[in-house]
Amino acid sequence: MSYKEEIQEMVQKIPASADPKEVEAHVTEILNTLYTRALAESKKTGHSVESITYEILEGLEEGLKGHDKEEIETILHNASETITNLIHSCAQESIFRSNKNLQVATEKLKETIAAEKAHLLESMEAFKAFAADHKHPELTQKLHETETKVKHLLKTITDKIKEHL
Amino acid sequence: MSSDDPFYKQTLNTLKHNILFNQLDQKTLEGLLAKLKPVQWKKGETIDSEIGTKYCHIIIEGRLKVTHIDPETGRTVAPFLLSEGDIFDVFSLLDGEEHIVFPIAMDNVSALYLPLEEARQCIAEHPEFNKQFLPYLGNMMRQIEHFGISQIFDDTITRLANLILRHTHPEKDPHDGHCEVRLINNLSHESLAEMIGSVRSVVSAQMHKLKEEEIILSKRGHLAVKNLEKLIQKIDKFHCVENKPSSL
Amino acid sequence: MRQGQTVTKENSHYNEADALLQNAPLFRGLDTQSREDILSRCRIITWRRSEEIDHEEGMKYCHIILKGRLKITQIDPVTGRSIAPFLLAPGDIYDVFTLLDGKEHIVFPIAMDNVTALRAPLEQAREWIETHPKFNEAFLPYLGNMMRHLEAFGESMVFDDTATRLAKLILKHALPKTDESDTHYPVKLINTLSHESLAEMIGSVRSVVSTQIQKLKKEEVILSTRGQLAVKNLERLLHKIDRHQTL
Repeated sequence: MSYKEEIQEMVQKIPASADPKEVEAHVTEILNTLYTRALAESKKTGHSVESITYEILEGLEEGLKGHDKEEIETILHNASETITNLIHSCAQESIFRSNKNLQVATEKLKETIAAEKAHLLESMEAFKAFAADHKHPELTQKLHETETKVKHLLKTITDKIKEHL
Repeated sequence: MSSDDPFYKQTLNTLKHNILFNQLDQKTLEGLLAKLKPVQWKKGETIDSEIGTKYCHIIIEGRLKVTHIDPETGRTVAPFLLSEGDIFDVFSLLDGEEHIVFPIAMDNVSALYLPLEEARQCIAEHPEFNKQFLPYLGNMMRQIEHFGISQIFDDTITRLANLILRHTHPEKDPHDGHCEVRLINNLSHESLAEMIGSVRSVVSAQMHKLKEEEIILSKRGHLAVKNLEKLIQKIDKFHCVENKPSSL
Repeated sequence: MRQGQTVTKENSHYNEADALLQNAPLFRGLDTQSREDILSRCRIITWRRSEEIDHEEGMKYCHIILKGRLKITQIDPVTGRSIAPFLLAPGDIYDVFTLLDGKEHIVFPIAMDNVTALRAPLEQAREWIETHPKFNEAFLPYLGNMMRHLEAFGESMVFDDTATRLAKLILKHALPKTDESDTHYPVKLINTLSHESLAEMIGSVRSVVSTQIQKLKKEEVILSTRGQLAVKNLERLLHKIDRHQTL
């Protein structure tokens, strides 16, 4: 069933003689469920917000046939307000989640950089310890060069992502 | 081609071993060969684009680069390099419509051809041909799909590495550990660029880099792969590779 | 309709399925017996709108779409970026690649609408093709069309800027006016798509496509009617593609 048919069917169930406030409440409830779902689905199906919104408004109008003309105008106006709020609410949630992902990813990047730097320093410790334990004075001497190299490598370790940091 | 033709036996044999036709029985093959005429194109020859719309060709020997030209800029791409056993032009063979391409013979090419309508008739009359033809089409479709998608997902170096890898024979030479590159091993940087939708200058720079990194090399003027693992790493960035000693 | 229900002459869905099958250019030329043969091997399945289909389905089964649209997305595993060179509509087969060569085709199909399809085990579909050589008459041109589409997609990526690719996409889906007095040309298949989706179809990004769409609207080349995309000025749209064409 299309969104238009769905909302039409749901709204048609509201009796035309019902109190306008009651009708309003029903329509808002229907929109809260249906429009939210349509919005979520559109992210997957790729339908535009414009097309699903238009479709749903058409379905709403069809479903309200039999109601007072003035009442229909009011309901449609309120519907557009409701829809705007729903889109805003979904947007905030989406942005919040995206931002959270960004934070998690940034933390992970920092941790990766720190861990990899630590690996270089650890290897240096291993070289020194080995040279001392196995009594290699010349090696111990030459490790100063290696230490200089490690310092340089630590500085250049983020070179490949420098422009993005 | 008549059975008196001096090349008849050889050509029949080539067809028999061709993956597209090796399922057909002797009688059908002979019947097909009787309808086919031989043609030769000289290396460097640009073939009339209408040829693919009028006739169906089976390449027996040599390579045909199928080029597309952007009428606005004159820029060219060549998603397909056809060789022995390939059909030209599959597009027109499938739907009888014209396919505006500019084929260039990269070597001296020998081919067999028959009128397109007759070729389509042959396919209709010999459904057993489908068994090999459909997978052949599947392969072509994957190739063309990959060409388009890689333009978006992959940078030039990845596309170039992929192109080389696709044509690399995985068996290493026991003497030097190098891997043979087939079909594209003597193509110019322009041609390689056409095959990956890039430009010569970029491809030249990338090839130079790959040589510097000792991933590829020129062997008697032909391209060969020196380090297969490193080539794979250019494509699959998560693939682990042992490091060479640093020169720092 | 039960999911996976067989299609037999006894059940009510047979006639509907048969009618839809007859509508498809690919199957239109088949005689009743051949269509019956297809239907007898198939089950009817449905996918809900927004349902993501496991690509392995394409490895096990051959589907003929009867109703609804299927977006066939490819995803770059490194960046997560997606493109959709194909939109499959009623009459289309999914997955043609696997049907042809039996190999895996890693794509991510999404049901854009509620989709009804006929499904048969892949081997049975291939066997059917082998035993119905007349099907080739429609099948080979269908494959030719797919290949040309893919080729144009690839070529366009190299030759054309986003504006041209977008114009080409819209033009490809534009339909003739239903009435001479109409102010616009309807657009099929892609008329309800978001800018993100249009971007996926032309290998671009939403922001660029949005800018281009705004431009085309401002220049009164396209318009939105009833929330859907339509073409206002076909000649100007053509001019965006072929700048040598005189207005």
